[in-house]
Amino acid sequence: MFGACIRVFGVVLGAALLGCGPSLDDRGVAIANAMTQADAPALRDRPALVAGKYNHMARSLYNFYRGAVPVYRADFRDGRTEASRTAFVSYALPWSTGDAHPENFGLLLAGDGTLALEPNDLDAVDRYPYHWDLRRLVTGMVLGARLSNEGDEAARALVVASEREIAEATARAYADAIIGYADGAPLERIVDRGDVPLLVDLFRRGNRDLVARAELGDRTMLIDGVRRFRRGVLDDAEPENTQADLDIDVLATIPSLLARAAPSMPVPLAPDELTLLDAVREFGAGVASWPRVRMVALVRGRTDDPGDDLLIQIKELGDSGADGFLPPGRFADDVPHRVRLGRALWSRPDGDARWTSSEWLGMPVSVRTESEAQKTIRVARLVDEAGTPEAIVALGRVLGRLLARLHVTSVDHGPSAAPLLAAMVRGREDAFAADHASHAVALADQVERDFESFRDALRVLGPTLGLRRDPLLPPPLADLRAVFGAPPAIVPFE
Amino acid sequence: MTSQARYGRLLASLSALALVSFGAALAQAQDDATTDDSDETASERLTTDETSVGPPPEVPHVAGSASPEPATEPGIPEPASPHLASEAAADLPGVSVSFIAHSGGETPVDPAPPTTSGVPWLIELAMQMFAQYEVSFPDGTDWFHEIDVPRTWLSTSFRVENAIGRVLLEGTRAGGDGSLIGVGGDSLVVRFREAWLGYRLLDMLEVRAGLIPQLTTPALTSLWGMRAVRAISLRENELMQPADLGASVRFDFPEQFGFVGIAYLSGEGYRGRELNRGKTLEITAQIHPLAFVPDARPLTLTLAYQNGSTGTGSARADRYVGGLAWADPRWGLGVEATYVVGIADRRDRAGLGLDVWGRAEPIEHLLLGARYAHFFRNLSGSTSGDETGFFTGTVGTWIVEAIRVFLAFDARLAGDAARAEIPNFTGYALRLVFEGNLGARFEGAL
Repeated sequence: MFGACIRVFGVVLGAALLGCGPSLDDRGVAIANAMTQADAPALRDRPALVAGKYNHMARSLYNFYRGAVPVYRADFRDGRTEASRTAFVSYALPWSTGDAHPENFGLLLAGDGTLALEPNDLDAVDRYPYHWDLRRLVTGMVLGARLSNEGDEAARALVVASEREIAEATARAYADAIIGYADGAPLERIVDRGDVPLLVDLFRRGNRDLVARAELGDRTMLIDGVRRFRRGVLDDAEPENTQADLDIDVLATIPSLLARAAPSMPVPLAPDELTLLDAVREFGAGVASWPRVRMVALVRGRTDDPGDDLLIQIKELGDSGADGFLPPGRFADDVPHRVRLGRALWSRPDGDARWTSSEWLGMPVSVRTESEAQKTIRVARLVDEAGTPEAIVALGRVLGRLLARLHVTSVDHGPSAAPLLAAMVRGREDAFAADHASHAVALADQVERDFESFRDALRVLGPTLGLRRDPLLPPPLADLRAVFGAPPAIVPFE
Repeated sequence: MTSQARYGRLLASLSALALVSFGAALAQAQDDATTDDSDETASERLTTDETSVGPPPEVPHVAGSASPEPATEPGIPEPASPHLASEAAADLPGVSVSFIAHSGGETPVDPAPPTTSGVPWLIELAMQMFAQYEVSFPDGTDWFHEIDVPRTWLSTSFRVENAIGRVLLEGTRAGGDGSLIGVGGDSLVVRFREAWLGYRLLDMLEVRAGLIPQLTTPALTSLWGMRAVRAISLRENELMQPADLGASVRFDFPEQFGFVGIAYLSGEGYRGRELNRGKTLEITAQIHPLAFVPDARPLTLTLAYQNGSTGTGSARADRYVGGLAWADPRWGLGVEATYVVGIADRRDRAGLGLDVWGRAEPIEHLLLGARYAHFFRNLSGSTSGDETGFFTGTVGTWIVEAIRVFLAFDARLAGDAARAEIPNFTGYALRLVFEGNLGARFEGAL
């Protein structure tokens, strides 16, 4: 009898300890935990939107790479993968945008109406180890190479065979630029790169849409001479990217938000540009920021001509991926500070004439221009003449140099990191490039495996990776639901 | 200088400091044995958490009562000690009041049992605060200095007959590390660290449920005795939590031989919600194997095992802890080792933590301490140099018995791989630390 009791106790205890846990490999567990830990607050108050993000990440390798910054951060800090390994360690903590993968660079429309290639995501501006950014960029280039030339296996194979060369060229351009800037080279603004096919195409399309005001045609329509947003799906190829009505009480807060934000814009909106014509909630945009509240406001231009109406994007901001590498941990200690410092990383302060920050219903938000002219680099466009090994090497060189420019920029009256970084790499440029290329290629391999582990984790743990809202809790307040909106149904990734 | 050479130099410094402290403490102990009874005062001042040293002694805490004076056992760190009781106690009608100066580690010191007859009750209100000014010099970058309040505790302990309970509030930043958004920016706010009810049976068996203190980290912290200066590495590296949601059962051996306890916990710690179906089991024993020899009672053996899981993916969080210490109130030396399976939600990662520490009060008012922790962050990986070292040396004194002041020196080292992973971890710092422990005890009979 006693023995039987012991056995029953053992079985019960074992089940309780193990919890009959899901079957995931080690890496799947680590990825699920890193993601849910980072997204826990959002998973509890807007689970459908976070589920949409995870689903979107599971659709493509590069989406996963963009959304998996929490995994990258965990890897970087614990040294388990190639994320942080390097023989070139610097104590410098340069200012950076914090997530320097290729698709976080694109065209911005400056105050003088010209387009330039700049970092276009300031959500995570702070001080980072240089190789946090460089590893993210070079690995992104390797992944981009592996995803290039969709549908043309021969061209893709040619590029993949050159992926190490692409990685080395990117890292080498970074090193050379760091040394050059330390020796006094001017910080340049990239307004045209005729030798890089992808950038040629980017500027061509950007300038075309700038002239055509393409965003007005794509996202709005004229009704009785008055412009209004379209509602619903904008592009059948992206059924989750929709524009939806704002709750009427939410809509009523937009004019005052714009009025508060306008004075701090690099080129402030004039008073007669603050007349709100319409506003919508946008769902299904971005990857990491997919669950965040994103709205687009339509404001009247300077004249009665509906052709000069403006679109302004309003996006909720949250914590960045930085983890506090140096006391006080967080240097950009609030969102206005972060945006101000981020703007300092551009080649000119009005890199985006309308980019600023504000507070809306208690949330920090960024406010910026919404324009089809502001094209972002997309790895999916590494095709045809932009998809040759030479073209991708050339793109890597430009982005490596651009990242170096960010890292040496003096921000907030602080010293430039250029001397420290140059001292680390000078005379060892080849070894530096080889070291970073090796680790980035290995990390790209890991990211590919992680992608499959992440998809497995979604299959096993469910669309919110196992984090569930307590069903006994009352539903979120109506006001909160109105702010978050009702996202469109998810189209499952498989 | 290579990292190995720096480790060697630090270890040599630590050893020298420990030897000096040891010798000074021995000399002082000999003096004390032949001169006066100051040992009792010292033992009362260097209080430790009673969860680590045995059952609450039947010590009267009410000045003016007919009970005998506190019966300090030679060589055993005394738990709750009424330093100020003789100076500042009062009797209200039916209620006795005394002032106390507890020095808790990772949990407040449990109150001693009521001493009154009838249906006894007691309430203890206590606060503990650490405040510090730190000047840090991270390698290769600008120095930084900050004023901080690493700990603000306000606790209330209850006891009515054998029913016991506690609520412990602590101050913390509204946002997590690196968060932009908290309450009113990143304000200091109050949260619950403990909130539990329990029952003590035959003064040997104690059951607690709720948001309870865990067993291992308080036990080891109390031996070290200088929590204001430095946490033990189990806490520094977030390898074990100090409190969690769950229940515990603890058995205190008679004659102060120690305790053994078992806890069944959520596993996410007191700062997190349950994320998986797995639960965490913690088994801890702290034994004074030579307690039957009065002079050898400070010898303390601590063994602990945790079978745990964290996160929605149920990552393993298993810990094997062993420690050997000499924990006399006047001086102590100890070594601890922790084998870790599962670090930071990585169940495929194993690590090893090694701690060595020493403390002494060689002469009245002079407190010395040193602690070195070495952490091999990834035994399962192929990367070499993934290790960190953290040395702290401190000199302190007490202004009044409830307030201690320390000057501490920290040096942080890292292997090559760890330096790439946690840039700017290495460097050194100077800290001026204030520790305050104040409390009041009310007891009576129904």
